Amino acid sequence: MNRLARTQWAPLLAATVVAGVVLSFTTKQFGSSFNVYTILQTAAVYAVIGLAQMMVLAVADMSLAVGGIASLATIVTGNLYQVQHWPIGAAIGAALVLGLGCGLVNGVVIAATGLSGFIVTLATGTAFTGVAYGITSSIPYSNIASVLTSLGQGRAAFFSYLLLPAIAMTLAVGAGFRWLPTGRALLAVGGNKDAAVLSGISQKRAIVTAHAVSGLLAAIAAVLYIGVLQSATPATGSDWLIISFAVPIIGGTALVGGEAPASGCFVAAVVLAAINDALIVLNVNTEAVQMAEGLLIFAAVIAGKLGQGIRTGSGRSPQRPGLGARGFGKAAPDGAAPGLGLP
Amino acid sequence: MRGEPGPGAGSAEMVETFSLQNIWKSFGGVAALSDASLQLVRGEIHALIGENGAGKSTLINIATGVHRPDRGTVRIGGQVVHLVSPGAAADHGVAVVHQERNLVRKFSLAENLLLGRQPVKQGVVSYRRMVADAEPWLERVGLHLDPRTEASRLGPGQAQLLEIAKALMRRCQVLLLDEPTSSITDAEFEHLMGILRELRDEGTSIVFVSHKLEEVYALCSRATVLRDGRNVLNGASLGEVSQEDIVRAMVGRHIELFASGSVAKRQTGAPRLELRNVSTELGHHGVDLTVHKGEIVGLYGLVGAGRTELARAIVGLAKVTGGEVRVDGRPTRIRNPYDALRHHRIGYVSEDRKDEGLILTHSISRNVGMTVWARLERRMGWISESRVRPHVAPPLQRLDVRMQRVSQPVGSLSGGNQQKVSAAKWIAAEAELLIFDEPTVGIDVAAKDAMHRLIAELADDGLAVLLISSDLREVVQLADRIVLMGDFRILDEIEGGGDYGPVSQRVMRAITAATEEAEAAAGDADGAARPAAEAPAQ
Repeated sequence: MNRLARTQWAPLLAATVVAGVVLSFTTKQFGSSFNVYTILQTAAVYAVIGLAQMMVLAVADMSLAVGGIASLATIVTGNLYQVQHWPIGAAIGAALVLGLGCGLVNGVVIAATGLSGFIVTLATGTAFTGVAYGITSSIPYSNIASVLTSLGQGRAAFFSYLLLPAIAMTLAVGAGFRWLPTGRALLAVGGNKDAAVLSGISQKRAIVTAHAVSGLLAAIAAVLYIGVLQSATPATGSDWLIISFAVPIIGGTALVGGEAPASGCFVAAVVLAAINDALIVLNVNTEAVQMAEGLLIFAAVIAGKLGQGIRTGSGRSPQRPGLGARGFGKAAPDGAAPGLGLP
Repeated sequence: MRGEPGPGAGSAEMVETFSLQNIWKSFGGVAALSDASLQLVRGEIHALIGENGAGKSTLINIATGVHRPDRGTVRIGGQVVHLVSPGAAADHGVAVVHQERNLVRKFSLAENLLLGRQPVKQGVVSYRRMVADAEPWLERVGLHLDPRTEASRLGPGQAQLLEIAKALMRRCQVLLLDEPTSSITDAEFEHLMGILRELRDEGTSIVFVSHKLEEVYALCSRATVLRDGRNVLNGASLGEVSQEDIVRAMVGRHIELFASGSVAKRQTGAPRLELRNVSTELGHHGVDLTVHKGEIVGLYGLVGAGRTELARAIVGLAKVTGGEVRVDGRPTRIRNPYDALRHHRIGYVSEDRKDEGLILTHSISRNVGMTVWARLERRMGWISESRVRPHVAPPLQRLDVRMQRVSQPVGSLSGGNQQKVSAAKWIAAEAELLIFDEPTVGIDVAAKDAMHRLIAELADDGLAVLLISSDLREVVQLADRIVLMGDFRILDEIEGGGDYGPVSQRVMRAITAATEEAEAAAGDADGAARPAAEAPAQ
């Protein structure tokens, strides 16, 4: 419990829950089971988008191509199913492989050229979106497989079925960073490139892996979103850039790399989706919604930053170590010492 | 150069374990090493000495597989090997502990030790085995800490030990230590020496790179000295060469080391800066400190004593929460470094010249000119290079900065010259009180000497100088008064300028007494010691 309280997103979640309870009393709509379902439906997609960015942030890189890959994956799924008449399973499989491939391209180009991920993914992301628009001539595919629709629209009371794949992804990514040697290697490269390289870990391999998995997750998010939207449009992903950064950052991912709190990502996705929904329920002018959203992200990040300050203030030893505490004596870590690795 | 004293082939004790022979290496046409050699025998501590830019780093990088030599051979146990990567070097039992700490701060000590080779059970990392595997190695280097502790909690000395443990764990036969002592306390150095001697006795060959000749003599049996990428001394026995010889070999000319004896006692003026019973948000309390015009006050203490922190509070980087600060006799409050320089003419020459002192990618003139921009701008509203240059040239000249042009980027200068540029900046700003924080850490003997002369000259010219240093010899040589600091308090004050021996003894006595007192107090307070935190601010 102590550890839960010290996570960066804990105060944010608490604030959201309180605000949610207040809202559900003041407006009938917000607390309704349908509205909560809508929030969770959005949150599920946000969570996977956030994970896609978090993969890359973990190795201290970034990807501006999450949306571009999603756009292309959406169109490929729609096209193979509606135009080429592929079975939906095969169409989705092809889209996921394509997402992985796009991420792989990003990773390989970055590793081979030494260019920053910012530049490379800015270029490739735009290109991917361009290809998607080219394939469809800007017309969305409206014939959507029932599997995707029932996943995207299905619910048991407030529980959106989309939460199942989202939670599965969150657990998988979290476990991968915690338990797999590859996951540890990614965090080591993000945490201290030199230390990792001198220990025989390949930085290039870590970057390629991170981007490839990121591409796969972006494609998964895209497929999930087809069911939500009930349409496969190349516009998918065009507004994902902010979300892809806001979710992991609010969830406690450091931009400098070396951290990948998947559970934080999930919580942040719920928080963001709830905020989004509240603005609509409160009848905030549609033009103002986007501005308010931006300000809220900003506020959330600052709150996270302040929370971090408090955490480091209380969790660590006092700033002024006594003379005796510095030597090589038996300096046992105090009770609040964090466990191994990830929170 | 080869086969001079070298390792004696006949002697049973002198088994050559590792050698770099006639190594040539150039980068983009500039020769870094020309026919340099280094031969290690089993179970010795071998000093590798040279000025900055002499080729030590390149040689170490070749020994550890980071770079490959253009010509020359690397032998391990008599066999020629090709170290194509750091991994290959590690496989051959060659490990290096770098100056910059190579730790993943968010990982546990155990995982840092086993980085890249975490024990895996059925495809997943076994944290239980990791802790068990790491524990004996932490004990081995005297780090009595829970292996699950996050590495970010280690102090610089402890981090060094962790890296040594990492090297040992990889069964290294050859251990290279690149300036291991530049940021650790004397007590930590003693501990490190003990560990290194044990390793030597167990048969490990150790290369010790250091600028501090006292340490070299205390620890090493032989020395290899490089100058301009060549061997000046190749495995010379330290019993047969003096410190003066080594210095001469390093710099290639005889330099008279600056000694305080050569300076007449300075006439000091009115108090320039007075702290009265000052406490700060960083934890200082009851600090009384006065620096007069034309005086060098040495602020000495162990790492973590709160000296850098005090300097930061003086220039307004941390809040003064109590007491009184007087500049030129007037009570005042210094809000930030801009205020300190503009209104009080106080400059802070940071310890961390790369991060806080200089913008490495900018030109020399831009770096030095930075502090005069505001002044020039007020007069004419815009700044041009030609207006700045007259203010920039004299201090650079005075400090004898070795450069090709003032438009050259600072990053292309050697460490010592960078430090000079850092100081020139404040001279150009016409500061009247300069705080030097560890001005000679990591710079070579000649540059250090130039720095000492400069500081003395500045004081002779009437500048007030507060010198923060962990180099006791430097403090004793330079300072008119030595103020001892420990645990964020002023412990004692001693007349400077005396003989090194007696003064240093007094200093150490005062500090030890205070340390014991503090330890006793800490023991009473909370029983167990707290985990170590980094001492320097931020």
